[in-house]
Amino acid sequence: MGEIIIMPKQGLQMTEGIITNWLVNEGDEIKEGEPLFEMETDKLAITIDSTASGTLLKILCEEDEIVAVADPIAVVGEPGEDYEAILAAGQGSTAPGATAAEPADLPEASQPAVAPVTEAPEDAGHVFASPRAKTCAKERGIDYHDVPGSGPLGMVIERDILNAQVPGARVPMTAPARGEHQIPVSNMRRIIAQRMTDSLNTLAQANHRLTVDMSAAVALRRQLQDAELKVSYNDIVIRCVAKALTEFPMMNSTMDDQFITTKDYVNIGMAVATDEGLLVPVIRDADLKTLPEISQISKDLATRTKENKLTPDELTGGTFTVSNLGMFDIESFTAIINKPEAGILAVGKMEKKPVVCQDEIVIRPLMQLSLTYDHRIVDGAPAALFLRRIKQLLEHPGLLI
Amino acid sequence: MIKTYAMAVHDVMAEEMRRDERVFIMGEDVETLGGVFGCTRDLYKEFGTERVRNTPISEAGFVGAGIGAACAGMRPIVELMYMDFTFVAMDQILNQAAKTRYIFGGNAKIPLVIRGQQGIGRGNAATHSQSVETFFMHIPGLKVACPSTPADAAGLLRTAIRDDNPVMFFEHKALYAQKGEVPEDIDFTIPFGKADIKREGTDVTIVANLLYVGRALEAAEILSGEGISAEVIDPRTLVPLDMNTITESVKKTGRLVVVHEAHRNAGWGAEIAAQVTEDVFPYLDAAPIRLGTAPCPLPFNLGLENAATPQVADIVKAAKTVLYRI
Amino acid sequence: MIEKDRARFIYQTMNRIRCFEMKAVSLFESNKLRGSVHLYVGEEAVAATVCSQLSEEDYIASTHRGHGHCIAKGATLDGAMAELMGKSTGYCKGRSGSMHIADLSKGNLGANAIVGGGIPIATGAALASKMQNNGRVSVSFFGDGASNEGTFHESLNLAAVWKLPIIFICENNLYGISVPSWQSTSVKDISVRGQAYGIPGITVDGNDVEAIDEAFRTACQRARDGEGPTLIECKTYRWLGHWTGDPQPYRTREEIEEWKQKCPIKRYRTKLIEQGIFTSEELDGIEKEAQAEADRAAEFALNSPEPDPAGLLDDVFYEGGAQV
Repeated sequence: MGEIIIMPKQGLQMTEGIITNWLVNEGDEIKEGEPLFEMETDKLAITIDSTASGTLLKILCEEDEIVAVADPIAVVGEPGEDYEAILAAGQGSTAPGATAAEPADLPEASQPAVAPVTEAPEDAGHVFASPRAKTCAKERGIDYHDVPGSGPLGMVIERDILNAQVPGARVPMTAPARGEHQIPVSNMRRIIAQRMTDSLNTLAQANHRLTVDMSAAVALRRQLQDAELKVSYNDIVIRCVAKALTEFPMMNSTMDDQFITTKDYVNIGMAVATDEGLLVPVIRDADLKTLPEISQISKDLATRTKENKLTPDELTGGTFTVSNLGMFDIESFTAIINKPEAGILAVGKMEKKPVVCQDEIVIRPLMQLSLTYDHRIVDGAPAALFLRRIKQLLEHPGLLI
Repeated sequence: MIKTYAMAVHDVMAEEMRRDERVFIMGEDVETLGGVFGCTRDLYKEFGTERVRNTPISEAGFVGAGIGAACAGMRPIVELMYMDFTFVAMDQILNQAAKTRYIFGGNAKIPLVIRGQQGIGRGNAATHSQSVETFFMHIPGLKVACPSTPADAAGLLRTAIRDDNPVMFFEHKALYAQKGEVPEDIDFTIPFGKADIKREGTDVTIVANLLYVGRALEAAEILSGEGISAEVIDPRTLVPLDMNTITESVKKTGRLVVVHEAHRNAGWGAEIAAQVTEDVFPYLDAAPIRLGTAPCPLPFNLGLENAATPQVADIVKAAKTVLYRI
Repeated sequence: MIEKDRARFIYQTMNRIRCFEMKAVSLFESNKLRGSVHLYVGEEAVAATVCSQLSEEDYIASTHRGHGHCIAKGATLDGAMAELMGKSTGYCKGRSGSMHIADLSKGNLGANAIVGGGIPIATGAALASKMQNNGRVSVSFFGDGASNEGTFHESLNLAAVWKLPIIFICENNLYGISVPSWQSTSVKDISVRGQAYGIPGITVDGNDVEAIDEAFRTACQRARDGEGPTLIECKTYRWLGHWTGDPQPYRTREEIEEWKQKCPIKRYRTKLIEQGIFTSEELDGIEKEAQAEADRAAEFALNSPEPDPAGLLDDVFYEGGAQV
């Protein structure tokens, strides 16, 4: 009387397994309860005992083959018995003596209490978790469904998440005498981390660079200075970007599954470094503001950002971001798009350099611009035109009027 | 200066009457007897019987007179012998004092303090042991203060007397003998709407007022022996209510126990639990627990009184329950 | 005989109240005014006469039937009508309506929609006046129904023991909504209840200006002299239903007609002409003026803006900080 051995379900989430090693050869004798094969799932590696006694008539699955839960993997019977007949009988109906009335169940006789009682509510596919546990799991990138719950009715509670062993999670280490320190991840750092990763993971970020001759901008700034109006080069860049954005609405847009939404308004975020991390306060309606107005607003925002005195409103609603690391001597860099915006302009240091002008070597103040744009929305050529337009405006600031 | 809670109340009233001649006290037995609990003892000697004025046993009448006098430029302190007696004057408090300014279109100020003691501890039974502060936070227009220490009693009462709104001021009879440091500054006030963290902790937030602040602190001490760090918060005023301090605490701890001597059903703890659940739900690791007096009139017998009211062990148990440590 | 200026005030005030009330009825009937509107028509002599002896600094506390007291104590018809219509220009910014109208700047501690609710408050104002020794008196208006409330008895007792400068004016209009006095009140004349508290009690014809004036002068003098309170019962009659639309099954048309014959305004008009204080033409002029004022008030109220819901939570508390 033959019996079919199936891929046993190990744990509630398992849908398939890989047999890594058969421990018994075809034709060998095997007793119920003795090790039969080794297998792996996405969560564990385990040795599985035989659920039948007799001769291993046939191994149906090769090592390293992925097998769905409850699929037949081997046949045990009397020596010389026809394994195919057993298989046919077993798959037609429940063969006499077959173990798997419920394919997912392990043999009842050997392991009567397979499922822990606390897991009962999960049968419906629902896992109870406290709100705090859910929040905590999300912050740590853990799927709480995978975490055994220790609360009432098997509910997942915060401590279950904190105790959960997650692949890739850092095991708390005992501090060595010298060398490494654990700094708790601050909320702000966590948010920045999430947003940066999310941006890189979900947008098609591409990059263009060019160099701008800032001579005209330098002259403009000097003229304004003479009129006792103090503006920074970054303010001039923001003003030019704002103007260019009005001409390239796709650069001033957001995208979801159905629509690309362009904005009639231009709100420019300016990246500001603080001790705690990066913040991006927003200059609203930058396209409608004069250069001195932009200058005044940007100064105020920068000051208050560093004093941590911004309102939440001032940190949201941007349509495009300008990031400037010139003050740190950075010549050029690639910025990551501040989602859901479509682009970000990275501004480098302005430096006097020799350039060829009308076949003569002259000294000019140069500055590199690097545009990161979302290629899902904007193709390379229009992005290039946009960046070139910014250059044009910076080199001919009279066009701003 | 170390003072009892009753002395703190007494001294602030004296200091405020010295400072402002519009302030006066009226109530039952406040003159020569000095009030049944001694809070006005000998004040009549300094201020005379006009300003420390015995009233007939006529709560609706003299509470109402307090409102009228407040409208007419005085700053009355109306003492009720037991705050249970507010019920005799409920129309004057809830329909008149609470609403006057609003329905006058903002053209009135009602600088009125209605104060007195309440609660268990003396075997006063059903009509003299209740904790009734919740009633007065339900109807808009009254401020509600509940001090748990001599310093809080002094600081909050001075704020109450100087406030231009009707204030319900709930003292606790079992706290009157409690001693504590009280600042001697005659302008020492504690602003309304500012909860006090009486003990800091990280694992569970326990909100309590009046007598139960002390009991919650005892429970916190026991819990600390079991490795549980409890934060004890006294809201001090229920109107205005400093929910921010409470929600910030719950964001940290993830667990909330509210304990008060007021009846548990529809007690103020229910309001706090509801607001916490609405405001910071994602931070909760367990449903908040409310502890309060059982749904029966307070019985006379001490054993029964204890059975009806939350004990320190109940607070410990509730804290462990929200921590799944039971 | 009442001196000419005060006589003019009384006659004018009675007419202003009458015209105001009738205007309110017509606005209610044309669905421009909502809520409970309890009318004072027929009882005008009491408020007008009592208030003719008060200054702005004296206090009154009124009732759910309070328009008359409010006007007599100095309210403009504009502000009062706007309040009845719930407009932002009303005395209470549209929050009070008819039943809670108040004007503390004129010493009016408010209409009070809780029967008997205002009596202790008036008593408290009198306590303040006594403690401040400022010579002011308080008048507590209330109806026959309120004289069965605890606050009436408590306040009479308080005012009597403390000898407060207050006059309790019971406007006995014979009915508490539908219940006649004889069914609800153990005494025929409510004024006898003064005796229980050791204070004078007197009953007068509430439709007779001179009778009210005489009784109130004595009471007021007693109060200002520090001798304590007086209870004056003014027997009068509410011509209209308890509310507009009250079918009034509890009384007969004949009874109402009979009281209309005792109209306080007509009676005083006849008296003034007899006494030669005013001519018929002069009195016509006063009446016309009152009517025009009521018409203007209705226009003013109708054209006034609704309150802004943004101010809903204003004035629940005084937010101006603590007293220093």
